[in-house]
Amino acid sequence: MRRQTKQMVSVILAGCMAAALTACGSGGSGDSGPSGSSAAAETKTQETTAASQGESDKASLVMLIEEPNVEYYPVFMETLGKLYPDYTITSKTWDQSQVEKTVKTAFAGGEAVDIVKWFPNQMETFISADMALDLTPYMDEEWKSIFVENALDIGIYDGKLYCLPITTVYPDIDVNMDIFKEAGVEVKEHWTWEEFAAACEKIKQNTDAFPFAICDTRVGWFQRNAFLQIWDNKEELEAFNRGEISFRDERVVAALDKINDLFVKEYAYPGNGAFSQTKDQTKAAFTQGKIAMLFNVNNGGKTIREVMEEAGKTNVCTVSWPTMATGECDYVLGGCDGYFISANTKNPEASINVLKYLTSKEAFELQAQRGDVVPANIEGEASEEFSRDSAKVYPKEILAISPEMNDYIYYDIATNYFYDKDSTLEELESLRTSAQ
Amino acid sequence: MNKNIKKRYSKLDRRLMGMGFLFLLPAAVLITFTTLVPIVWNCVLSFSQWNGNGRMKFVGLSNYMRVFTEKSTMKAIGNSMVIAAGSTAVSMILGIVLALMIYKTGKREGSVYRFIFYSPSMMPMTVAGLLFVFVLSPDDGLLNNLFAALGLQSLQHAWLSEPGLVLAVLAVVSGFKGSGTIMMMIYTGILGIPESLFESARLDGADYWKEVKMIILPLIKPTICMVFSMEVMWSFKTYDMVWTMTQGGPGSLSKTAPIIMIQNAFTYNKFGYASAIGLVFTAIVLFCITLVRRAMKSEIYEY
Repeated sequence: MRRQTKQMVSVILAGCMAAALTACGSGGSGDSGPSGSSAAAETKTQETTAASQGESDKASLVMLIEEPNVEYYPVFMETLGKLYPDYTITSKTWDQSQVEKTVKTAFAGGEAVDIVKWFPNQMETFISADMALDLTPYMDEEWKSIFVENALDIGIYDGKLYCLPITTVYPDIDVNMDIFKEAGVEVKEHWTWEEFAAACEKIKQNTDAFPFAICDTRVGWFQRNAFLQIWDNKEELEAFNRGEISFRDERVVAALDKINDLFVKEYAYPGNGAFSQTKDQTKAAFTQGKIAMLFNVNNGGKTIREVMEEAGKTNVCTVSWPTMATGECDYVLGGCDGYFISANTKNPEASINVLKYLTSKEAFELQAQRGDVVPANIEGEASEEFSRDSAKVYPKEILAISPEMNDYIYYDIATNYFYDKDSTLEELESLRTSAQ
Repeated sequence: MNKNIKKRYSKLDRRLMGMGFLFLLPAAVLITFTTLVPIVWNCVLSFSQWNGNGRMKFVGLSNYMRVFTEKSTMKAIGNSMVIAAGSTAVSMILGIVLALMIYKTGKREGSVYRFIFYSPSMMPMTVAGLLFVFVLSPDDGLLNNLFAALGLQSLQHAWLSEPGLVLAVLAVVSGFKGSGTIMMMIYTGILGIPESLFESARLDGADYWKEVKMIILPLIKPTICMVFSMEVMWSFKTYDMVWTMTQGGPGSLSKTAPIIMIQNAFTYNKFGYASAIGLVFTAIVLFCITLVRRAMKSEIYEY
């Protein structure tokens, strides 16, 4: 009798376990919200349900757009809560290094991260796996009229619009003019590579400061800009971007050598270890007056000014990236941040509604107030200092030929070239030829 | 009579076995779903080309061929092995030394020491990693500033940026983090040695070093062997520590097998290739563990 009871209990326990496992496995269906497997941190869920609204208006959305310390995102979320009280919107913190992983893991698990912030000119990684929703059918004239002419082109692939631009970004340099003055270097809004290298040398010789700092995720900007500028004409640039010109071309090697020279001469903060400085470390060094120039993005300039002011340093200006151009290719890398909708969204209409708000005049004006250069027809232009090179932005680069090339140029090229020039050229060539 | 007893016992055995199986069932189901099914799925994937969405295409052994021919992949696997070897050595040596140091202490101070030495193991990997990023920062890090304060500027380094250093530093940090667990396991093994053995050794005039050499180390050898195999396995899997401290950088200097697996799957949409890397890496880990167990195998003392 006692044994039978034990057997019964064990059968019930096994049944409970099986039921629990089944329940875990079926968590993805329906409107149950985001997957727990997501790497991004869940920051906030806004849920307001108005009884007066019909069942069909209800939607659960997951958004991966919100960056910490950017003031307008909480405002966006609050406004969306008011505009669409029946939507359950879960906002996850946006971290560039985690975005692809988060979206693709969710996709493979049958979950959707509905609205994602990504770069319109780097959408291959999602489009090649059919993970982005074609927005063309939803883009009516009224919505289109918000954007400045040709702004949407950057997110169009094979005639289909996948990603909407929200802010124009390109690299520039924030300059501590006090250190320049001490070194006897003239501040120039636009300068050549040679002028920049000479300024670095003077700063190193005449002051205790390092000439410049660039954080680990931005070191590749040197090479990316060089790859846009070293060509005699646009046809050559386009050929290089298609992967038709070798990385062993003497112009490419010469440009890479010039860039490498900056690190060999230890102009970059903190000398040894310059390739692994985080954004926070470079920013801290700039505010402490340890470096003369901080490589930054245009829409981060306003924040840097505020931080420098708090540190008692008001003599700061923003100048252009030094150019290697001798011909007609005086371009800078850049493009836009943007939003796309995941192809497996369960609520395309709701996602479009949210996207319409995020690209509305009101939202763009909020961005512009923070110093963003927005590709929209709105009142109140961004400061000339933070938008002067907008017209020089060339949105197509060699890194678009494959995700591997993108990753290599983004993160590895500078360090690998510094430590092993030949292997780096070999790897670049291998990536180029395999992408053909 | 005998036959009846035999029959009764075998029936009882069968019932007990049945009950045992029933109790094992929940764990078996859990392991099947969380471990066995993914392993089989991984094997299938490794022979296919799949971008994470859409149809899979069978490609035979080409993913495996690529693993062995692609330099960056082999380099990453090599980096994993260097970190695993270094981390295992550091954690084993440190763990054993710490255990030998604290087993003689009294009850109160012993618990304090155990807490202090075990605390790195209680910390989440990412927190420990971030702490060491601050400590090892080239300009304002604690270690370099300590060297500067001591007038040892020549010892200052960019610990996480120099090619010859970054893997060693990762191994040391990872080993230090794991040493607390090793210490506790070895310490538990030492506590299992009968006090009478130490007493008779002392009567024979053995000092502390002789106790360690002649009694403790030989008698806890099975524990050391088990802990060693586990540590090798843990060290190979190091992902979060490396990701937090260097993200595989600078450049690709500290990329390990788990990092390139994730990159290939989630950045390059090459799930099949990532699976092949995973399986090859698993085979290497299994081989290393077998090798370690064989090497550690010797006579076991009973007491």
